[in-house]
Amino acid sequence: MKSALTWLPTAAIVIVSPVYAGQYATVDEAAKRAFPDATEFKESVFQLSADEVRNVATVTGLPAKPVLWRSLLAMNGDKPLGVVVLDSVIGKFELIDYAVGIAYDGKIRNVEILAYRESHGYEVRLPAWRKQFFGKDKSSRLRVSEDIASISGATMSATHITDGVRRIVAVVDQMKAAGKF
Amino acid sequence: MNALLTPPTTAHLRKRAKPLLGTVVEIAIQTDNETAFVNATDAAFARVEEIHHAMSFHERASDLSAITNAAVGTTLRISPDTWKTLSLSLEIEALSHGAFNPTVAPALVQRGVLPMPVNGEIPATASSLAASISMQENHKVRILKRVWIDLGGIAKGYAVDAAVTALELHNVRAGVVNAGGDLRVFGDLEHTVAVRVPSEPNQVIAIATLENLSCATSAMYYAAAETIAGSQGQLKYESVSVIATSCAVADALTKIVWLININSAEVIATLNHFNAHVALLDGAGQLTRI
Repeated sequence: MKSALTWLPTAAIVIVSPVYAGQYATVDEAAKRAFPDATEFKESVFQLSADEVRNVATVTGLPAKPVLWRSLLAMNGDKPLGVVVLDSVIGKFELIDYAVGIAYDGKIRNVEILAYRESHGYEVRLPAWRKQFFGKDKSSRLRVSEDIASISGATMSATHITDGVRRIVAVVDQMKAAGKF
Repeated sequence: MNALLTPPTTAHLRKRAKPLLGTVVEIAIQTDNETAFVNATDAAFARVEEIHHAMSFHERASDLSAITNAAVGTTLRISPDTWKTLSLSLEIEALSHGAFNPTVAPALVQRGVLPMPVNGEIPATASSLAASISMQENHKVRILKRVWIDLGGIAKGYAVDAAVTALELHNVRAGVVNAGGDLRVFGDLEHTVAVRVPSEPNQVIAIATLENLSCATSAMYYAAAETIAGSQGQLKYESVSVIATSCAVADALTKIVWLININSAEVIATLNHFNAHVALLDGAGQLTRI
């Protein structure tokens, strides 16, 4: 097995513009990975009443989130297998879209990140020391969004996703109790 | 080089990400179809989850909790993953003359960085891993002294290595596993690695291209200085990246370079031992590569 380290020459070192994004999975892919047995996914919107929103906040100890939740009901013929709920949270530097698949018995089947994008969009400030890294023109800039590079060092924070998953479990619980699912 | 022989870039890879290890774990691999892709990545993510449960400081059922709560003189059987990570930790602790020290958990509990263990008592802390445990055969460990171990400085890298092994067992030819910035590139693939600019973390600098290597980075972005384990004195760098074959090694070595001067004999000896390289960004934004 060949292993090789190539330091990029200083002239080729570039600073990426601050907006970048990553696409991992479509909603359909996430749904099928959670429920491979499903024959059909029905688009659905969970709507919580004011009481149900309060219940979710009490059960999870998290601030209440929206009243409406976009979801897909996983069906095998007439039999409901579970539901895939879609949500977005703010991470450390970015907005993260994710999907949670929950089986009819309440068990989590899959948590899948769909996409993320850096939420800041401010202009690049340019201290003198950083000018050394800039290429000659825009085309020489590396764009992480095109998957040329991985970032080493702290990236997304999962804390808000973990909280979000807990909230979705509680939302689905409320929906089941209300006979809406 | 003949352009036709240039390995593909990550643009040809299929990607998947899940929230694990308190971060987002991203897997990008060469694959033929969705079924093969999902089977291979499911197996790799499952390994990461398994390692998380075994080596979590927070979870009561983890191996580390069992060690924390064990009486002196007892011998415990732990998971092969924890056993291997502790063995590697002992090796790195010895090579670095104690700069790498996974027994600093009590200090972190006192600062509120880690939770109080079940029995609620902070022991007179053991000074080193070597003084606290001794590795036995058959994945057993003997407790020599009361100890709290925090493998936060190495477990994430170990999980990345294990995920790569799982992918290779599923005949995945090439790819990248990135657990919150600790990453490993494997197979016939050249991959560029970038690091964040510590003072403006939503911008990144590309530093190197890797093939069958790992890169891990420790940096101060928004965290307070004292959350860095055992931080002694002034911070010399804003960001430390280590490149080595194993991601567990790269992960652990960033802590050593972070804590001691890069020019010190024990750091150089440890880096040489693992054939590791370093990229540093200092407070003035100067990039140094060794």
